[in-house]
Amino acid sequence: MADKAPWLYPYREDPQQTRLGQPVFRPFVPVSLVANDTSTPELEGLVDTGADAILASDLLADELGLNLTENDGEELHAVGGRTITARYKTVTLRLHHHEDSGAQREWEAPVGFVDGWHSFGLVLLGNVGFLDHFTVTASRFSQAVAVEDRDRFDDRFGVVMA
Amino acid sequence: MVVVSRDRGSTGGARGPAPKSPQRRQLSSADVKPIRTDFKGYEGKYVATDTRTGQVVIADENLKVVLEKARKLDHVVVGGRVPYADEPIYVGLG
Repeated sequence: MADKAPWLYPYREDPQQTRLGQPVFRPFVPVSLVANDTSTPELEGLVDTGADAILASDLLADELGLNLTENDGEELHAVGGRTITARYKTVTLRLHHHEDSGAQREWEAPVGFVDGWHSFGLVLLGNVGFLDHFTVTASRFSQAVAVEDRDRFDDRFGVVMA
Repeated sequence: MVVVSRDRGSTGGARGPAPKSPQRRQLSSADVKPIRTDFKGYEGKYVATDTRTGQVVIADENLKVVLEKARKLDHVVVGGRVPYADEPIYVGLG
């Protein structure tokens, strides 16, 4: 991503949803979580601009050998008409290039691990930890999502001053 | 809210579609099409799919099995559990 070229990902089908009998495509990007010298394989990460944080299935914490009783904090989130508890741990995340280049971007962020996970993608990529690290452009029309360096937004649109 | 543009050049007022920049042509590559997956027959199982074709390449009721197998394969991304048709659909994460 250092060359400023956006990383482009096609939308992928979500088996959990259909709309009027038609398939639903969502902006999934491949990410992996790393902790304790262990990495998950590439996972479907759903880009969600409405999510405050990065959330993930607690099954992945188990995979990484994380003890969630020793967490960085717990938060209650109201989603899907019910309340869930996210237990946060700071882990390393890797975003993988869509093509076979092997390129990846790596950063650290707090991830809220949730039990009783029902989303198809095992990772939900929200504002803190993902959208504050990248400029993300999702186009339902083009059925693709572009991920770029975070300063590309200001380059393109100028600096927004409150 | 005040927006300060760094681009002080004019884009003109011509009508019609804007000319496509080289970058836009790159983004319009035929390589980028939505990835479809046939999930039939995998209900109740965790799946991993080929990143290029969307085809299901690993399926198991145990996520650990899927994760372990996926580590050994290239071009594979692990999704989640495929629901049964009569399972309720949650709005948002649920």
